[in-house]
Amino acid sequence: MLITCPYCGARDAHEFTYLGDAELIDRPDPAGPEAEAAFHAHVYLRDNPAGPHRELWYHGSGCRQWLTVTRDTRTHAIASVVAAARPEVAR
Amino acid sequence: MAKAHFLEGIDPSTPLAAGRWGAATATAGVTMRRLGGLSIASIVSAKGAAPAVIAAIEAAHGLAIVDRPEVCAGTGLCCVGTGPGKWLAVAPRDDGEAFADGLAAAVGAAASVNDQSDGFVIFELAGARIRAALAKCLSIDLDPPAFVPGSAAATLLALVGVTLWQIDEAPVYHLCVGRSLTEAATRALAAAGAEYGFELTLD
Ligand SMILES: [Zn+2]
Repeated sequence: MLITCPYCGARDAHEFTYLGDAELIDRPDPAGPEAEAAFHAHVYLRDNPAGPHRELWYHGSGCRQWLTVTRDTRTHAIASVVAAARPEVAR
Repeated sequence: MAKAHFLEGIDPSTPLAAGRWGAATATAGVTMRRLGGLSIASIVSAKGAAPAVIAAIEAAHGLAIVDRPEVCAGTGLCCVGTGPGKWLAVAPRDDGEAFADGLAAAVGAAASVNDQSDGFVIFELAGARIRAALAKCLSIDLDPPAFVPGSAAATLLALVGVTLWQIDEAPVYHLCVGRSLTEAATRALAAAGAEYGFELTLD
């Protein structure tokens, strides 16, 4: 599987570390309503879609930036790769 | 007597000595030369400050660097893009700490600069078969136009993290390796280059 890093270009998946669901970027507001339930969902509950999935990958053997990758879990086809550090485009 | 295998002597248990290894070709198809007398520093921009770092380097050193995986070389300074807002700065001088201090003064609060001269070793890779040898231990495309003089990449060489950049069309590459991993990288390249004749220079 190749991941096209926005900085480095197309690289083998072995250069990256997988973290998981990109929803992890959206940390709930601890002062918000139902904060306990929101944190329970944030920490423990994950969707397991058969299809497009937004996930976090770390390019540790390359430019060392976190990426938000949209990958089809059935085919590994990658629809988009953006820097996770740019929330205006990563979310 | 059976002919010696071309990998003979490239023993993983001992440091590889300088000289010719592998096939006894007229000229070594792959050459690897350790470059001495270099200062190396890392430049890591503060959040959103990459343009300020680029402007500061240009003002202080007259070198226009870019926030891309490319190498920009001027007189006395060369900057290699290693990640967004990050560079490896290399200079032909042997006072690494003073070199890093000078860069730090130039960029101010826009970036963190650290002397890496002790941590890294830079090798020059050349020879008519260097691309064929690198193809065995590197998973990026080095054929033009994918990789040309001025191109740079932070990647893995035989599972060792390296920074590689091309300095000449011949092709000639510079390879930056963590000092404690140079033996692993050297032996990987010696084994990859052995069938073309491999020459290691350590002076
Ligand atoms: Zn990258």
